[in-house]
Amino acid sequence: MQLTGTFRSELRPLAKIPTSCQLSLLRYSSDGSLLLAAGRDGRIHRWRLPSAGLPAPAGDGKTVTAGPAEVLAPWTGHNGWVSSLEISADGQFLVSADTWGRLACRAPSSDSEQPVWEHAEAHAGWLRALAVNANGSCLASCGSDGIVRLWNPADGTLLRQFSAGGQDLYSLACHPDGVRLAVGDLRGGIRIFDLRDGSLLLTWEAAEFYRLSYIQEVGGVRWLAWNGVGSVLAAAGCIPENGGFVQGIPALQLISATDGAVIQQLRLGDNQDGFVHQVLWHPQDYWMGVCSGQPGRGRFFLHRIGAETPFCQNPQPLANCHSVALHPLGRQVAVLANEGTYGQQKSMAREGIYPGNTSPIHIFELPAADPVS
Amino acid sequence: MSGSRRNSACSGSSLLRLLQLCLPLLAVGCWCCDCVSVSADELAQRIDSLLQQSFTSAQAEPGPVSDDAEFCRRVTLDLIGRIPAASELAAFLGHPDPQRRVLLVEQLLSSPEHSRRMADLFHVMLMERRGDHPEWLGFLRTSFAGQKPWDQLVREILDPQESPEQIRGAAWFITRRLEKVGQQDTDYPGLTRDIGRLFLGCDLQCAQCHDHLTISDYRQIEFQGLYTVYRNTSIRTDVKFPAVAEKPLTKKTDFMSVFDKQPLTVGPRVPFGVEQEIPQYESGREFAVAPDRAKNFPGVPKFRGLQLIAQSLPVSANRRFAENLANRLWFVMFGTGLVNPLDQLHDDNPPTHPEVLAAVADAVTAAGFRIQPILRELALTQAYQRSSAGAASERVLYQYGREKRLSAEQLLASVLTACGDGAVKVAGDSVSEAEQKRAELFVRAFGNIPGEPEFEFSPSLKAALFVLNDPLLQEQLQPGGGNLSERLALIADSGAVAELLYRAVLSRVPDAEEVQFVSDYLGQRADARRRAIGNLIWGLLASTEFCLNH
Amino acid sequence: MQLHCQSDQHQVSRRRWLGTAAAGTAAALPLFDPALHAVALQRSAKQVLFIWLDGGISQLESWDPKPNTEFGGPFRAIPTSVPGIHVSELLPQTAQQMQHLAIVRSLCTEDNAHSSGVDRIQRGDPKNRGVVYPYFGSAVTKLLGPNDSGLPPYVWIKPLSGGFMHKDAGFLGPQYGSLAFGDGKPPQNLLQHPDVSDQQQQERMEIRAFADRRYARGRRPASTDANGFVFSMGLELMQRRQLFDESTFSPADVQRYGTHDLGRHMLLARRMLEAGVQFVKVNSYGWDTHGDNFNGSYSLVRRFDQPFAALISDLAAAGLLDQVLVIAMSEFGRTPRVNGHLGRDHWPEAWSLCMAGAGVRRGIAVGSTSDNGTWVTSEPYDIGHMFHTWFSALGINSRETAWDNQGQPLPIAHEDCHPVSELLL
Repeated sequence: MQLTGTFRSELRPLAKIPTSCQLSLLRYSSDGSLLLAAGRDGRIHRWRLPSAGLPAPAGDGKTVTAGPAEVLAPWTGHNGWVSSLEISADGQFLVSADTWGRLACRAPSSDSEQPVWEHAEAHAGWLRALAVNANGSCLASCGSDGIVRLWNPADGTLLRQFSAGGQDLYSLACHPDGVRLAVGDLRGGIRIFDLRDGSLLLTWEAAEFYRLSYIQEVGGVRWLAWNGVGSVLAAAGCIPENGGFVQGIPALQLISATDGAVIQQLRLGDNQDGFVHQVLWHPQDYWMGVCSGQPGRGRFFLHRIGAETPFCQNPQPLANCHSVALHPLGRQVAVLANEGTYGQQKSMAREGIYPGNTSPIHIFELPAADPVS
Repeated sequence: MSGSRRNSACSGSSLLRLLQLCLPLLAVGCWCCDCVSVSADELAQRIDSLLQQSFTSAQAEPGPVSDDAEFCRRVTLDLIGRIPAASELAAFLGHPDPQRRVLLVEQLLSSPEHSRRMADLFHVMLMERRGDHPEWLGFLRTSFAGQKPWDQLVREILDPQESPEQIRGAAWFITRRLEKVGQQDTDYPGLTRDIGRLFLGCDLQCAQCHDHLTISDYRQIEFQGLYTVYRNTSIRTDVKFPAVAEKPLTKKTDFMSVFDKQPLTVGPRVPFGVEQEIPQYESGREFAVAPDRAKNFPGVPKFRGLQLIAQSLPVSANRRFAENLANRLWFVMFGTGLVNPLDQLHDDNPPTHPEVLAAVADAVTAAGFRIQPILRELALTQAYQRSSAGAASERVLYQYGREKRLSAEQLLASVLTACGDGAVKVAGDSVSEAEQKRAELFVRAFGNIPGEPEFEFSPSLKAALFVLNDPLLQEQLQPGGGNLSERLALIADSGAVAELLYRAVLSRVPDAEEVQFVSDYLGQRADARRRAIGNLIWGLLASTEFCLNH
Repeated sequence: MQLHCQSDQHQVSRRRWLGTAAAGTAAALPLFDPALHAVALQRSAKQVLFIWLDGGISQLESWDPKPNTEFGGPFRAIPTSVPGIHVSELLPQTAQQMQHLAIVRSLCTEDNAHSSGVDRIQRGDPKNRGVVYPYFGSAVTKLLGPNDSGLPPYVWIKPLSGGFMHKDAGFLGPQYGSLAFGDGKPPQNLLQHPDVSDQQQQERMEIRAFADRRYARGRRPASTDANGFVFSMGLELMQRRQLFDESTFSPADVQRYGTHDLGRHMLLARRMLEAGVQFVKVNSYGWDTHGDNFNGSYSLVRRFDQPFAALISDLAAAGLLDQVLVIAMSEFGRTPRVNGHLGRDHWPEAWSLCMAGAGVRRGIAVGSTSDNGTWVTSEPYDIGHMFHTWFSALGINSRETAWDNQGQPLPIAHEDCHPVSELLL
């Protein structure tokens, strides 16, 4: 399905920050002065930006500058890929996880290499998602081992753990009430737990987010996010058509928090367009999300609930978008895309020249006025 | 060895061929072309004379003529798609006229079963077990019942029309190939390739990405020019019957060899023919019949690639078109092409007997592409009448008759004829559900996988297990309704049992050894004679002799 | 646009298709050509299990992990039962069987396309001589000759459809093709008809044989031989139908191998080997992880690991590992570079396979790649080297044995390659 229709508002590109490797998640610090990214090189990459956000580029408003982003020394200590990165609402804690199971906590503005606390094996294997509740009293983690663990962000003590109905947990989202936690898994299962006692409150199957193709389990609830008041849960993933290449239609389900009824199902492309990797709520009452599929395919979109199609998307083609982060002032977003050489090219590998892909960060100014709905 | 095309005056240098294709198209069915050297009537003699030359030069003698039973079975299978019933065999064997073979050929050709056989044969040849469709089958049956010439048939396939209704099913040749398989893109290259293979005898598969590495006449442009037409086609969704839609053909195809990376373009073009200029229309004026979005009707463009192909490919001036039919008809009757494989006609793959191919191709053209006269002549050659027994001694092709694979359709019809009540029933146009199921079972057991041409005899495990265990065959062996099993059970004398058994199943007279075998066996199984008879029928049905044409 | 071009299959051997009088062979019926023979070999009890992971298993997520390097991906490497050899954490159970295995990490081959690559690899990518070389299975069964099992010599267990695949056999002739069991299911009509007793079946077959003997007089035996062959095969399979009967599989085995497709198929493969089938090929599809390679590998590699380890362990325990050669491979590996869809693309330049069993050294890893996995740093091996090695492991002299294709001698493995002595006992 092609996205059709005219967009009534536009995203204005402000800057494009090159990166040295592929990144998976972007986060702004709570004052907007830092941009942090989870690296597939096992490091947490950091940039310093003006707190108010980036200035608009001069001239025609179309050319994008690299922007005054100061590269800070990346934080090391993780292994494999940094798989998750979250900052508590009050900005005190920056928690990070990796695909080897390590969980670490730092102060976001610190320059110290050492984390405040860490657990080398917070989970067995790939630690996929982290979430911090609104008042910063609880950090939730989950991963391949199928267990949700709750920690005290201040010192890393384990508060509680519970099984979430199986293995291969992919996503977490803390409800604004600070008490409920949504957990999504590979097979399309979405569960809501009460953080206070680990009891299961609601469960439902988003079966379309999963497929068994030969012996490959494809899909998953890749991201979960609540809207501002916690009445709607957004579940992001794809409707897989096959494994291998992985062809799938990017999909978003908007679900009522009270009874799990599906309010809306969005299809955001065709079967080359892949996954909705991340979705985020904007206080001006719309969702922002990113899609990535076959190399070169991707988009960043803004969607108002109830509308047929997104009302806005990236003005120029944007390949393989994996993450979006909202500047605390709410007027700028940073989007991770992919850039690089064609995968199968030998380059000059034998001579040691074999560049990898990178994930440039695209900073956009969001549409200012409320778009006509 | 020079190719047949160079001998015949009709073709010759490729330049001459090009010129001929540029000429305004002559009426189809060129009856009196001066350059044709052989008319249909003289074809049989010409073939035998040419083959004799090959025997002489190899110092070989042609093998013996088949006996009447062998000939009767062979030609009945070839022309009406089943073995002769025992009564038909007896009638032929007892026929007093020394010209009985000629009479038999003519009788078979004029039988209503002949057109059905032709329809089945070409269905398998053209669709290669990709399923079936009642309108497509209807199209073939009606066409052959009306003795439609091949060029007209092909034209109706290449440019299918909505009406008259009895020919619209021809569209299924294209639409079946346009259907998507799973997640794959529409296989336009596959469709293009099949047009070349089946109607010109040229497999251009390897010329898609570059000039063919080993076949000099298959250049990339041959594929790409044809592809230009087919990539514009799609299946019409506004009608329930098979129908093809064409987008306006507005631009040439860009292509490049994967080897030399020179960008080239080509417009619509019959392989080995001339590129057609694409007329440019103002936007909005490209349609002869405008599309109707509300009804999902795609419209009919003024300039249509399918029409171009239909007008330029199946014509007498296109020598490859005639040679392809000649080669395939030869294959049907003789079990091997003059050029093998049947879709590799080119200068580096010369025919085994170039002059024979030329003669048959000439005759095909002279006959206006009517198939029957050609089959008649081929059936009347001495070569066709040679026995295949003793073929182990063959040193030269066509010294002996050869074995030929039987199709699932022929096998089913033959099993029913062998095991039935002896009366000859002609299959009607409408087919009951039970008959349909039976046909499907046989195709599943004996047909190749979709897309694979059925040339060689390749017995499969699937077929063996079917014959061993499937209820369908077992039912045929149960005595009842006056069928063979029942009639044999009523015969007391073992010799007479052997006689009827062999005539009914193997379409010949048993020899002494066989009569003895049957007698001995029935003697041993006197306690279970009916079952023993069933076993005897089974054993002969399962034999190689039954499942081949020889 | 789909490409049909299979660039190595352009040729049709003229020797096959020109019915030349001098050769005197019937070109149209190439079965059982009496002129076609290989050097006679002793009857051998050797068997082969060939596991084909179609699409390209990622060597970086399996046999040659490079954790914490630029292209190493998210997974760890784990130690195996052989000190010094590590594999990806996605092969935990296979890691415990390392003492039986030989990993080759230095494969470097030509073809990065599936359509041609699969064929080239399985046919040993010989020099282009205008003939279609047989698949490894067809070659082995031809060279080893029939064993005493009475079962079809070359069996293929695969998802989707089954049937007799004569194309595998190339110029050897269709009877050396593989008999495929779709989804490991037995072929249709395997059960004897209830109204037909064993005695009756036997009598029927005798009558059939009588008819065929009589028919074959004076004719070439190709047709009757081929037909007789499929009937015997059918009868044999009917007698062995419990091989397929899943109710006779032990629940413990089913649990250990896994209930997923590949698990079931590997268990059936073991039963086939135990019953004496000479060459068993098992196919797994879906390995072409151009997208989501890491989640994909997490699913795929682990689901290979489980039955593969079980099977190696079972073969070893039954003492069969001395006579069964086991090979697990794809048509190429995957790129170190990760693309925008988080996938890896094709990489024939440096990839791995795993082997074990008859004639093969145990507990070794041969060959090495650069730190970032992009290139082979030791002696690179083409598939020809592997064919030489495998034939040698089976007791076949790969350099002196030749096919005889109607008088045309053809090497059984690429003549520019040689057996890898490090891999052989």
